[in-house]
Amino acid sequence: MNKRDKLRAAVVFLAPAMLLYGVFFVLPMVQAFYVALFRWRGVSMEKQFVGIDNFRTLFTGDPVFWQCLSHNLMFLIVSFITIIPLSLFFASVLASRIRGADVYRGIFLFPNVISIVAVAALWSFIYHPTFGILNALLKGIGLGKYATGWLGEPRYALLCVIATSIWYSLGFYIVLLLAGIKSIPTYFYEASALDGAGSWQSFCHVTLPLVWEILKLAVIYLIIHTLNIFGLVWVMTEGGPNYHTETLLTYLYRQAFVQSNFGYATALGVVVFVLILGASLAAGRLMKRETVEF
Amino acid sequence: MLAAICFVVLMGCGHNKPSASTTGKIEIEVAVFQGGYGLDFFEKAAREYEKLHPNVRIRVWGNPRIWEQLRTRFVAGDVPDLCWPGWGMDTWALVYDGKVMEMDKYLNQKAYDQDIKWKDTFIPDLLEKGKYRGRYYILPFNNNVFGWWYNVNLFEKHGWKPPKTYEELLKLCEQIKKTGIAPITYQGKYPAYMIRGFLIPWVISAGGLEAFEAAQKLKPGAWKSPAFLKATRMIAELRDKGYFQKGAMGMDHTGAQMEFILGRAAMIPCGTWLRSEMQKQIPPGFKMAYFNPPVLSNGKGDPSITQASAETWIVPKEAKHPDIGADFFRFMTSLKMAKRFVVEKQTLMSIKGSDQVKLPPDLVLPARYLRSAKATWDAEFSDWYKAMNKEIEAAIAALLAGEISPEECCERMERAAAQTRNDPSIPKH
Repeated sequence: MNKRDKLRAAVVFLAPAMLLYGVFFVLPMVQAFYVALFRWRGVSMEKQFVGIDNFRTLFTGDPVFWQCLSHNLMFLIVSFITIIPLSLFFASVLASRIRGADVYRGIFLFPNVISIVAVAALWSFIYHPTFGILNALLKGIGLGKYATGWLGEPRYALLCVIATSIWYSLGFYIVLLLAGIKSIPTYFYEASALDGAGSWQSFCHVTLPLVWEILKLAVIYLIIHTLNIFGLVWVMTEGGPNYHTETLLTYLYRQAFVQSNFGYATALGVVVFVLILGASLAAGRLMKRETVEF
Repeated sequence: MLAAICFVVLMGCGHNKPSASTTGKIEIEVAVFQGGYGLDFFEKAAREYEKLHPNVRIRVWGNPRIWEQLRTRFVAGDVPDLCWPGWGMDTWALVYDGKVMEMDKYLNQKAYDQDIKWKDTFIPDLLEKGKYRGRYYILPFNNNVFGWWYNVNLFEKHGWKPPKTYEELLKLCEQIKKTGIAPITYQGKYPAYMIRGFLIPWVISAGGLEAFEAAQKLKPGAWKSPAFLKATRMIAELRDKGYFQKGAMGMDHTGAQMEFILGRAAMIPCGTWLRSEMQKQIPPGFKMAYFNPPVLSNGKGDPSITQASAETWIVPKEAKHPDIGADFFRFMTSLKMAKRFVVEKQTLMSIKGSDQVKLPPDLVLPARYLRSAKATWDAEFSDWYKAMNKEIEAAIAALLAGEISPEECCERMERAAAQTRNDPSIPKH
């Protein structure tokens, strides 16, 4: 097969995928930037060009947008400080050939195989004010005075949803990092042990640098996941009570499909897109390190 | 998400079906929201209509999220000839964009089986709701009455009586609370229930129907008028005295209704769909009954005023056979068919006299309240001004959660109303 044939084969094999990707992903995306410049109810072709008005309203005249943004950031920060250390910890423990590691790995990954809607419904029952396990548990251990309405309480609602999201996604990050750790050749650990390194030292000086690239991936994925959070919130609280759990995407959905502001919602979508892109690039740059080859 | 929206738009294109079938008959398409009532009634009606009009074939289809398909069809301009777009469709947006047929010429025709005009067969308040700038667009079909329900078994056991006045309600709640049962629960995740069940009835009681109408018409200051202040204070009083079920704020509609059915709460605001919605969960022997929300004993509003709303249908402007679509709807709202719908589907209808059948026990009282009401109301603002409605829902949720005072709640609602009032891009009613 000469070079030319190879090229032809590549084009033939790639074309259908590229075409589908282009028509159903790239094209709508480009179109979104255009739609964001209109006032459009989304029920007919009646559109009115308003320039950057949608963006101006979003940034200067819409307190709910900033509220949503702060909730997403809260999601990101809490998830970051819990998921990254926890998943690193569990991944290292599971990698160290403890008995039943496969079973634990299965347990951690389990939430990930349940549909997000089922997870949301399940946790709504856990938080349920009258027959939820959480309140029953609190009462059982004598902390009954802390029993409350959880998802209906302005103070706790967001944290409750975040906790569910962490429970749901932790397993994914553990498995991701576990794969990274498992691929580190054991002789690095043997060498560091010979040099007298304890398990903490070998974690810091062998494991961490060698899974850094995977960790970077995990952080970027975390950013995308938390800024894009939708299903869980929508099923558990629909953004309530009083916007306390409203996120960028639940707000986008509400604007588009409930309030028939498709233009405005699309502008919000463009902002979320730019936000995620920016945050991911920033994270990638902040975590830049010399890659260790092995 | 961004991609999804545009995907939806793209999907709308290239959807075109021939409207005449091969047999030479005129085929019309009827798209129906498939909720608790199913499709069978409409299919049977279609077969009967076809017998009367042999040249017409009616294709009835539906699903529980029909608005998602209809939205793209409307954008593409390829629409059914008659539809019940369901609760998820912003039907007024369709009217504003000129996508809904004016129904006046059809409404002035003779009714299907009575010697009066078609439009005179409807309960007038329900028909008027669909009017915009002097013309009829949105037509009512089945009709819901919204008020409070009490657990008859519990009330009989303890010798309680459903309260007629707010003052009686306070006394009763104190008694109920002592038994460890929550006096009132509500569907906290969806504040529309609290607005229809607590806020508006008490606004009307305190300030008369005109206080509420002024608010719906966005008159400056109406949302923080003394009537609204009084109503929000009444809600705050029940909240502070602990008469609402703890945690109700975090429950969805079926969750709160479950609490009511299980007897953990004695009363709940809900519409006449309550039994059909909870049919599978209701234990044998459970009895409940409807009553109008208790009003102030010295209130300005007439105590007989009742809330009535309707499920609505439209004939799309770009329909291929709008005349047949409208005529089929005229057939389905004939007195005979309306009565049959009431009996088969256990709901009320917006056709006068359709309740003159053997009503299911839960509907007897709502029908009686409706018939003896001096006036009816509906939270129409929630359909007209969606953004304002969301703000008002948030304000009521904040009030019930104890985050804000009645005064702050009214201020916030008034601000939302002012924003809608001053936005020229929002068509006004």
